[in-house]
Amino acid sequence: MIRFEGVSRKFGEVLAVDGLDLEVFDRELCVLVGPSGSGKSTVLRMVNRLVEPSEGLVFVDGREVGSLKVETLRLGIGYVIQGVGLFPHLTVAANVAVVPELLGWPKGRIARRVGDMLELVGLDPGRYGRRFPFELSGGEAQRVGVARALASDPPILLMDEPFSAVDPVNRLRLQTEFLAIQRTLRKTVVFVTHDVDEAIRLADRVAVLKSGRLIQYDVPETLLERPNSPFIADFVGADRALKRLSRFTVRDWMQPTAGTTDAAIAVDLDASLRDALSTMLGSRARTIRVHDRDHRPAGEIGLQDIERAAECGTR
Amino acid sequence: MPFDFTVIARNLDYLLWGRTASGEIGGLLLTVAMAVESGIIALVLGIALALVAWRWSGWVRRILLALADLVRGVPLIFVIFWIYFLIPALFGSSVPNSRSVVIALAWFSSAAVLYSTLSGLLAIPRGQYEAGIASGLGPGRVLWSILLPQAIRNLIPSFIGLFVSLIKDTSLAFIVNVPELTYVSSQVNNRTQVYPTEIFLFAGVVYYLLCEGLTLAANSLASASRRTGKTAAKSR
Ligand SMILES: Nc1ncnc2c1ncn2[C@@H]1O[C@H](COP(=O)(O)OP(=O)(O)OP(=O)(O)O)[C@@H](O)[C@H]1O
Ligand SMILES: [Mg+2]
Repeated sequence: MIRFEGVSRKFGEVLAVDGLDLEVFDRELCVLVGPSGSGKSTVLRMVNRLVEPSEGLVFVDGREVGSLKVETLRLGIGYVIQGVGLFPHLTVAANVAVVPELLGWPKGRIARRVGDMLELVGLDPGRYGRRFPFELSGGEAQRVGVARALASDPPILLMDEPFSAVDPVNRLRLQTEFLAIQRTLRKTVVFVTHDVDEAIRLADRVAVLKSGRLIQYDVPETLLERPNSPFIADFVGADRALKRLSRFTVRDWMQPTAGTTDAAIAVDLDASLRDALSTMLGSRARTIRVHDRDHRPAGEIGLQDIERAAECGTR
Repeated sequence: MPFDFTVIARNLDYLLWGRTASGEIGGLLLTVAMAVESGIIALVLGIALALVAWRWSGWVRRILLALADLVRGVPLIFVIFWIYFLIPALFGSSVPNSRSVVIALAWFSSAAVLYSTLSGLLAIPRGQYEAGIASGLGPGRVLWSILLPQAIRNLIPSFIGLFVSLIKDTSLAFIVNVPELTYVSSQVNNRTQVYPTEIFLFAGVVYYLLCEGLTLAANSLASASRRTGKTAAKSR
């Protein structure tokens, strides 16, 4: 659990974070969202002490971070950043192995762990382990970044716009996969983005920042239905109903009966209802097929299923 | 005047090896040995100083860079003279002349290695350092196993360039009677009297081939390693 108590941070004259009180709950995915320069990265970086607060205290598991040995603190915190995070002179496998090696794990255990982690993020260890970062696509590089951050199984994961350098299609895929990973691992995650859609889709709880101040901290449904200020209402936008749909997955609302629909149109099992709806509208079909990751048929989903979900309050 | 290159053939052994057979290394072999020796010292010293200058970015760095400027601002031949006269004055006994030239060359080149290594370290994106310490590595460890390997990889061409100048600069040892290629060439010339063009043309060509060959080898090595991905073209 991560707690900020009256935390401020000044850079010269700039007040990047202004009197922040925030509690990130155990095993929840907390998304920090806000316009550029609102202090999101600064908040995140105060958790692993890449930045020290000017005022106030940050706690991890009830212990003030300043009182811990900084290397020890960081070993328990995975960190994923956009762009330059991977070490270009090391292979993918060596990148993932950095922290386990630092912890002095035996070779065999490291090798197994590296394989497991690459598989977890959907990369074939045999094909990707020996590559160098510049031989990866942007999406693959970000997957490796996640694998590296998770390698030593740290309880906390900090992610600073991890998917924002990836094209929209791949970003959606990465989000879906990351959600699936998070459902099984249940880490305490602080995730920074400036993309409201991404925030709504991923978050257990969303913290909206503006000019270094926390404006609203709530579960996505509340944020969408009861924005506490015109700023938030404006920020989440007019398409709230659609945004809510992005929190439901096809898997939970489809009809598993093997498709009687002969429509060629299909969506992925792990796609969101929002994606399913836009696929239906795009193909003028009221019912479409659902397939799993390997393109095997898994059932079908119709407009009435989506309506059912929209009427339902929670996921 | 017709040229007679048989003088080269007749003195080839002496030009290449000097009196190496009788225990006194000389000729081209000494040229290469001096360049390699001073190159290794300069590399180790220069990189070590660059690491120190990177780690302590305040006045330590400023002092080191000022010293390096001082070293680089004096013509190499003066450094050779200083060391040639200084070492006997300080230690009483004289060291072999080739030794003092190696020290002078190493001293001079380590300043250049310090400069290029430091700028290579500073050129690595800041996110690399951050990703390192955020993983729990200490600053020294990040420097040694994350930043330095990347910097060195980018610096290999400039190190080769330095080594090529080192080879050429060993000819200054001629001034203090070290029997390297230039000196033995002039010895042969003095002995035979009539073939200066042939002899010095030959010496020049040997220097040229050595340096050019090295440069070519380095380039093809660099492009080969780029192809196999040992050199990171861009950092992620
Ligand atoms: N190291 C620094 N030195 C000086 N100013 C800084 C530093 N880091 C952040 N700032 C300033 O603090 C403010 C908040 O920056 P921060 O990076 O936390 O914003 P952000 O919400 O992450 O923005 P973005 O979405 O653009 O990444 C900005 O005005 C920024 O210029
Ligand atoms: Mg940021």
